[in-house]
Amino acid sequence: MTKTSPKKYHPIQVTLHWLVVLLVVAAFVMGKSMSGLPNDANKLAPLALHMSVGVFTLVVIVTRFITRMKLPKPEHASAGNAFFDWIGKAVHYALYLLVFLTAVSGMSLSMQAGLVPIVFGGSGSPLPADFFDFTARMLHGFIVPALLLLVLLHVGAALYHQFMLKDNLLSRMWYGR
Amino acid sequence: MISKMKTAGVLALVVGVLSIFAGGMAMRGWNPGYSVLDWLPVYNFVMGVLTVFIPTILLWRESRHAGASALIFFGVHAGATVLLLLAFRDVVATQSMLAMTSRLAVWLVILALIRASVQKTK
Repeated sequence: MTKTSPKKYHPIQVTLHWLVVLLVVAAFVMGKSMSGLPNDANKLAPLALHMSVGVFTLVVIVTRFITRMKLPKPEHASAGNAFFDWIGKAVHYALYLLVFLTAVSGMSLSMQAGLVPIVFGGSGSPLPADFFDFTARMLHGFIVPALLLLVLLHVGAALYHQFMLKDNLLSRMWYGR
Repeated sequence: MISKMKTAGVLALVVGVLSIFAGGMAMRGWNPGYSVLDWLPVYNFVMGVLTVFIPTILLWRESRHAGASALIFFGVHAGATVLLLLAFRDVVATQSMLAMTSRLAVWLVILALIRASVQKTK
């Protein structure tokens, strides 16, 4: 018996995809708006939210990868060029990796700076004067722009498929038949 | 009997968990009794997490990408060891170099197991 590929992603995959989008955008906006604030008590609440969103993103991206392996998925959409097709596949995997690494580097920073007891435990200890004193902050800062670049590439490619190749690619990542 | 590929997966899991543990403890301020480079615990923690989630799973599932992932991880660790030798020779602790070398040795065993497994299936 031959199995045919579905035309659309499974609704679980669709939900997890858009959830990751929301979480990454939220974490990015929070991180950016927070970076200008002084490291005093007023930063604790936004930091707690940013860290919570980061941990939730890690859980969701791992779940998404596992479901990707388990659930049937449509064939890779061809751009009509072997090199671009290869780039497309590589970008998908790189997106998973960078979202994962962003969260893990954030966790590393939290451990290096001892943030959990300060932010969630109410220890009363002050936040570090400068997060850039920690190697993990540099790593976090290198990965995020790389992720942003890949997201732009991913969105650009999706729009190219949708409006230039007119293959209705976006409908694959939405609900319905 | 557990296959060579799965044995390699278990070894990768062990080396990954140890790396997470050592990196995590050092990042949380644990003093191992010798000076540790600032970036080394972060490297250990991140690579440990990646090891548990990528090569370990690929090896356990006996994926066709398992060999490539093991080779990449061995390459990254070899690169980091060379970097320590060349750029941080004066500041890196002997114990850190010993740990890096031991990890490389485990990865060599993993690569040997993968090779043996591939040869057996040919």
